[in-house]
Amino acid sequence: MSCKKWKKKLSSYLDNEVSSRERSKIEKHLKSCRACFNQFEQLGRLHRLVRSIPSEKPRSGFYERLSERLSQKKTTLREKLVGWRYGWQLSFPRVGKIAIAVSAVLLVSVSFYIWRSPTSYEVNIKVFEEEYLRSQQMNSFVGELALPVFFEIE
Amino acid sequence: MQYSDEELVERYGAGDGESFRMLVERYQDRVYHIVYGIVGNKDEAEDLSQEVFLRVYRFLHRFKGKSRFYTWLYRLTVNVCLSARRKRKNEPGKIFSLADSSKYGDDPGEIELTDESFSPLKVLQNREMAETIKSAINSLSEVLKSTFVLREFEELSYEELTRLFRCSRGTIKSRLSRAREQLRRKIEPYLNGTV
Repeated sequence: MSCKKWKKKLSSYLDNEVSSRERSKIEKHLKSCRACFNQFEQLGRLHRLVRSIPSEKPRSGFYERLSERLSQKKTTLREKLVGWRYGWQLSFPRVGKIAIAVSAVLLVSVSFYIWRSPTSYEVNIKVFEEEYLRSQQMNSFVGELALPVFFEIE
Repeated sequence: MQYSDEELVERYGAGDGESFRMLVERYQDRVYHIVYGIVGNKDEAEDLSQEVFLRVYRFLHRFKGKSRFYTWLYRLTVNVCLSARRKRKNEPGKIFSLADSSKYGDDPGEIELTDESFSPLKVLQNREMAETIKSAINSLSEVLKSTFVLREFEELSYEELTRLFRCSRGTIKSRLSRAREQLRRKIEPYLNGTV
């Protein structure tokens, strides 16, 4: 394996995230390759340097400031809901408002029309009733016609 | 009584507001440290850290316990930082404001020195070196920087990083290797002690 490939493994080796078998191979190579050993040493120093940087902490009262922001967010949402009625007048241009209003009217009208239109079930019942009545009339008419014919034959 | 993260989440879901406060106090320092490591500005770190917990408050009910709570929290933290940086992509961000730290010049606290020929303290006391390191870390891409910061600051394992970033172990290895190699080349003179 070339040094280029060994060097790629040094980061994982530094983190102790290699198998025991791979660790043995890496350590064996580091003992025999000065360039790779130097690079590993530099990685180690970089690691210690970064870890030596003091941990930064927030100013005291972090939770209190957070609570305040939470309260403000809730208030803002409430204000938005209440102010919607007025807010939309400011946020949309005149053409947009007209378009929205027309769309709303059309939507309501179409919905109302659909709601009031007889359903297919209702239509079928109505048709059935008409057909039934017509058939009843036809039956009685045919009966009236047939009576004299029977009598005439005889 | 010390509750686990998962217990606090459950209690919060049952309506115990105090549990949310306990979660915040438990993680505020760590979240702040990560955010500061990524954005490098104290005011912005404060603002974004607050934003992280605002989102925790808003989305905590979505946490189903499929991962550890801190994995979910850190993922949210990284996303908040990356979103903020994307919005400010024309404005170069800063990494650690080492020059702002009041610790330098005062008692630096305990620093482990395993390599006596190399003293991180001496390196960091040199403002020019500190700025160079800062600049080098800042030059990393956001993804490499986030992975590097979480590994170095929070000491998350590769397994935890794969879950957080939702990628393979090989990807995490590659990112850390690339990040370290880029940093090593940029600050090599300081690592050799020749500057």
